[in-house]
Amino acid sequence: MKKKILSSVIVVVMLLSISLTGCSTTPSTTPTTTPTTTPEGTSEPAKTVTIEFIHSQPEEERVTAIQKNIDEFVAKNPGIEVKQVPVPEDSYMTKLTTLISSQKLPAIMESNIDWGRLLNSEGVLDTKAHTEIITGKGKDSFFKGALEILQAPDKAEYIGVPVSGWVAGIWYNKALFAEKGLEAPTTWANILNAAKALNDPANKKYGIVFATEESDFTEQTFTQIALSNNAELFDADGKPKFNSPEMKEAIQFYKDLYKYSPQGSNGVTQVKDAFVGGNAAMGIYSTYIMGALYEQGMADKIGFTVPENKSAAGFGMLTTLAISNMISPEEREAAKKFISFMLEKQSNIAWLHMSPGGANPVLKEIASDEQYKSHELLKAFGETSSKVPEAFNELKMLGFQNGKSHPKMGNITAKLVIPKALNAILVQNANIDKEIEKAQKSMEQIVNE
Amino acid sequence: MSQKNSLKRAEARLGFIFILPSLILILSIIIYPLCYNIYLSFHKVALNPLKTPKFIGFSNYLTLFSDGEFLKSLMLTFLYVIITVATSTTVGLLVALLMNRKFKGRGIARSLVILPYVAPVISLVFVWQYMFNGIYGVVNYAAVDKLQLFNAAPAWFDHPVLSMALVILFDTWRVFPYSFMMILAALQAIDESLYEAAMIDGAGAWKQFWAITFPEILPVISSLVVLRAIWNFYKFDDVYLLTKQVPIMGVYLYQTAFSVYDFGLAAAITVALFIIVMTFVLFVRRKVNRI
Repeated sequence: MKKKILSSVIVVVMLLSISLTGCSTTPSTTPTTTPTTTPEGTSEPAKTVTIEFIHSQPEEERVTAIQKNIDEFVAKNPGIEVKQVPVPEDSYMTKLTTLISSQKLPAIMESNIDWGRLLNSEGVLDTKAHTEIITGKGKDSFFKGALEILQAPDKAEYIGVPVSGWVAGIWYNKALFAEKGLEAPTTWANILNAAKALNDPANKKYGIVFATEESDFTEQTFTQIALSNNAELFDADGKPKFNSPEMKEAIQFYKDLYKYSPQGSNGVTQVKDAFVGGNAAMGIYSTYIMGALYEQGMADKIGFTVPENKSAAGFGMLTTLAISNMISPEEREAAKKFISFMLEKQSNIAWLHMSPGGANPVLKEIASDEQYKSHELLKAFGETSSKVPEAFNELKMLGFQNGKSHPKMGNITAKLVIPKALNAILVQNANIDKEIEKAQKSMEQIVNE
Repeated sequence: MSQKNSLKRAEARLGFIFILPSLILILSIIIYPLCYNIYLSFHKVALNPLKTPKFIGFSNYLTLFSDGEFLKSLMLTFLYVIITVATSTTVGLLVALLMNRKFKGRGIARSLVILPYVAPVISLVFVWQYMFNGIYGVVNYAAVDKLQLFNAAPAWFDHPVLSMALVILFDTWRVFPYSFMMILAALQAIDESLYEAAMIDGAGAWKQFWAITFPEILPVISSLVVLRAIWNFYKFDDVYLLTKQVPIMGVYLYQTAFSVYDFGLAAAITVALFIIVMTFVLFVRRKVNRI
């Protein structure tokens, strides 16, 4: 009998321990009641709303800078607590998708155009709340292109609130250009001419370096070339037209440039190292290269242009803050207040100065603000750094036409259709026409899915 | 008689109660996900759980088996698994035999051998990419600039054959320490008196290896081969990070389904892979049981 009781107790304890282990603590996004000190100093019970802010900036100094913003916000907004959840960038989307699946998406998420498109297509964003914040701030406060590109494909609302962004373009070594009497690499002819003149592979010096690997980076780099030739990805009916003459010209130009570039599948590391290391006279990269150039004492020796053929094509990516629709009305209001606070001058500048040069203002008033421009790195780049944010006025992206994003563009990007075609044509030396037709068919298949 | 039966029943009940927690664990973390995965493979699944999965029958399986890339990837994976398992086990065995001998600095040498296995994959991949970089890589510096074996730096990670050879080399170099550790442990457990008796009988080192060492470590090698084959069948990280020219099954799975969050298709692929791997495991177990 004793044996039976003992074994039953053991089993109950084991089952309890298993079930308790399986229970995880849910994020504290539910409103709780805690004593709050009123301005008069009397203590009384009040509702405290705790919201979570998930972002992909886990570096210690960035976490500290974000926490400083949060502390200031909390001091001004009694009754709201903000808890930041930093996640490394490479596992950020995996974390978000897991949170979507478990319906525990935090109130505020750092996002960008690509992620925003995906989150919106899954119906987990509160686009109405974003629109209310943007309208509250005033649409005219933002650079025009920055807002247009964030419009939801199916309604007059936004898939996120822009807080900063990066711009891509051609960085070039001014001294090398002057030495050979070359013109700044703005037009296709100038770019190709300079790449040819400055290429000296025997001494490991190349005319230009840019992305050729099968990754998003290649699509982003090529986007500028394609759009500078007015090569759009879809026709008026939303059908892919990757085989248009304009697109083929752009691909051919990309291939011509590759002759004067380090061979192989070049990605972020290779492009950055070759340009900053002085092995390439030109590099197509985002503003995030400015930190490395500054550290090498090259800030005043480098110029920045946007490629131009039939038109100029500024390409960039916006960092946004987005609100989840898996939260309570109290949390929604708290999240709106926090994002509005992040658009205020001091907090926005603090956010931008976390990665000076890389993160650029999307608010017109900040772009011209002396406090923003007072950062050492931005001062070192002089005119170049003040020119960069203006690119947000004419921001272009493949798949964004007539003020609307194509609903399947996210899938085309995720399946790496364009980078695969370009890598095959450039690196694998495949037939240009065959690869274009292959990519065209893949796109048609994705659009018809 | 009935008292004896009742005692047996009570013991059986007690035994069942004792295994119940394990049974619940297995049901919840193995059987349930397996069944759920099969269920998902017949549906179009949205990321948002509030959207109900849509039943689409065998559509995901038809998509999968009509994709020529799937069969190509499967063949490539078999080739990758066979070569990497054979090379990493052989190198592990040879190094274990060497390290089992007494020599000065053996402790340090043993520690150094396991370094590639304990270092993070991402840092190793970066080191390899730098080694083979066309501008400043040490491999090209030696092979092109100094020894002049090539006119220009070869496209190491872009040529289909070269990149396949390199990912095999990378995997062998990275995981042979695991085989080394397992085999070394087995070698140290062999009774010394067996070798003494063999020497008295006049057996040389070669004969001793095949008559004593190999049969003694064979169970460990068999387990290693099975485990390594399963792990490498699903290999993704280092291959995907090093090159895009070797679309083995893990890479195919990621590119086809996970990069676009098509969980239904991803589930269908994993079900197909599960059947392949289980067939292999059952086959090997039967073979090992006969030994």
